[in-house]
Amino acid sequence: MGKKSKQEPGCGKIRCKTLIVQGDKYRTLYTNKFKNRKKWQKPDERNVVSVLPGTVIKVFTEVDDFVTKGETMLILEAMKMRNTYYYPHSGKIKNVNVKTGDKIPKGYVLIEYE
Amino acid sequence: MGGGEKAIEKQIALGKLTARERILKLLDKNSFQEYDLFVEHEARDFDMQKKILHGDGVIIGTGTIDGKSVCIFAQDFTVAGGSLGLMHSRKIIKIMDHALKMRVPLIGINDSGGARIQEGVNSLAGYGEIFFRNTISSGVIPQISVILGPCAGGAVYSPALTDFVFVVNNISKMFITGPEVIKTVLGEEISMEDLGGARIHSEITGNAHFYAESENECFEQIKKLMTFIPWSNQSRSMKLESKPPRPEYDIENIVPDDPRQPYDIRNVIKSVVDDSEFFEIQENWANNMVIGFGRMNGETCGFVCNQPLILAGVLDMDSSDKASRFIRYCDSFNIPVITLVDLPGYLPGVDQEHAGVIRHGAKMLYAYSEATVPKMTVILRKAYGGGYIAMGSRHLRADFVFAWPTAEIAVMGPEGAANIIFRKEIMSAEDPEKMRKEKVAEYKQKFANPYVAAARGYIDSVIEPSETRVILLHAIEIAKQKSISLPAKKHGVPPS
Repeated sequence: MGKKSKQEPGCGKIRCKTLIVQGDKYRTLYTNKFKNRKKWQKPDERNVVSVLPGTVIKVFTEVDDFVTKGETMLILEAMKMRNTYYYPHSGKIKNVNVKTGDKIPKGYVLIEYE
Repeated sequence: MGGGEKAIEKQIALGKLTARERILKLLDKNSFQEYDLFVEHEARDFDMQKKILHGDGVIIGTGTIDGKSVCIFAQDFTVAGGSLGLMHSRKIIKIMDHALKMRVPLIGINDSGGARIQEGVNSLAGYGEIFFRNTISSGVIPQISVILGPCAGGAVYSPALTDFVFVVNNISKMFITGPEVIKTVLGEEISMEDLGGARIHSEITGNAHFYAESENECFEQIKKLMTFIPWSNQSRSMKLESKPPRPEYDIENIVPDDPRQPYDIRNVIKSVVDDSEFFEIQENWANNMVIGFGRMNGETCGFVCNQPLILAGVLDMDSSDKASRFIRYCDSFNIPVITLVDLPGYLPGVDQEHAGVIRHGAKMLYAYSEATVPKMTVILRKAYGGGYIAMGSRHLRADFVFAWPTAEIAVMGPEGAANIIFRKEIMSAEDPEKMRKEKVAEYKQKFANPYVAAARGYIDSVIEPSETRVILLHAIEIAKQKSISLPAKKHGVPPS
């Protein structure tokens, strides 16, 4: 399959990692983006999570409430607009993690269902 | 004297040159002709009539690089922070119109605080007119943006529309919303440099094409780029004297025997191009794909190559974007494209899939198919599955496709393929592992070679590595007069 390499393979003195593509293992270096990638986790459907950072204006629910899908859940002021969040499911509320005036970041769990 | 001595001292203290100094350093000596030096602003709101802003904060003119004319503008940070007002934008628009009319390159040195708030909508109008001209000139004349200061908010769209963006460490800053806004709205604290500094854009976002440690180094890079590219889409790039590659790059001894071991593809490129001179673009971003310019018999060619040293040379979102834009650039400016292939496939991962690797990968297929410049491909080692198709295959109308004897053109790697095809035999065998190894070897022998593809004419010939340069030169020579046309359409709808 060709002459024996006189030059060292690319990794040489650098420590190579392994990358598996379609079952085959390759010796190579990683990029920073690849090293820092977040492992995917299935989101918990019982948690309602904020998609924008903002300030909570009003919360319409309390713990142990029974709620119906589509009703107003809370109002979040974000990006100069009042955003209304609606209940994604019907069910019983286990935890309410916010109150009026809270400043919350993106990805914050607002309300948890049972 | 720009904005006065105090302002100039501040500029120097930040390690930056003044606008005038930059133009004079970049252009040939005594070639710069300035226009619109005495333009004054007409703003009257907010006591603006009391302010004298020399040249309204931007210097425009023409000059030469290597004896050939270019149009240039340089924003002057010492005058009102280089902010863009109506007359400032009119000056830039004037020189952009000149560049398009005269069919010469446009070089823009950006160093501005952004829109001049006192001039309100007039500033926005100015930006809009600039972006429009960037778009209309795109693919007609080379447009180069040099970011030598802040370039924020709307202003940053102009560089994004141009062909090449140059950044300098600790001097360039590019972002849409700055750190103050981000802190107020989102509560995230970040410095200007970490948000949109030179390293961020050359390593993470891919917005920058060339990175330099100093302004002087940046100017040298610009001059070097200008030696490779044509002056407009109606002219050819400079033809230099042909030089053989340097002897220290021996093409026979770069690629390892073991197909799982990596090597630096740039060594292969350097063993093929004139004088082993390879001018790499976007060196620090998506570096599992290598793109850049090299000369073959004195004429510029664009190279698109997988880099087995990084992530095994796989294709992913960023590398597909990187390659496809470069192919389209070469196609706009009549630069032949040479593709070197060695990839095991696409990068697996949920993050890739959810971020849309499908539509990014499709960009490569689109770019290759649409390109009417001469396209030559050499398959060095692995070319599996979709990656084989995407990397300038015959099916995307590459003019010549060659393969080394070490090429493996197959739907999948031997391990993966054997596991699927011979699954029953492996599972029902007494020693599954042994059976698996046998089947992998069988698959390898039958399919992991270029001869199956050669039997169908999908590759034109199997060549020895040592013949690569000679054969490519011959192919480029004959394909020079290539003339094909695409079906009549206004333009296609490329994947986004």
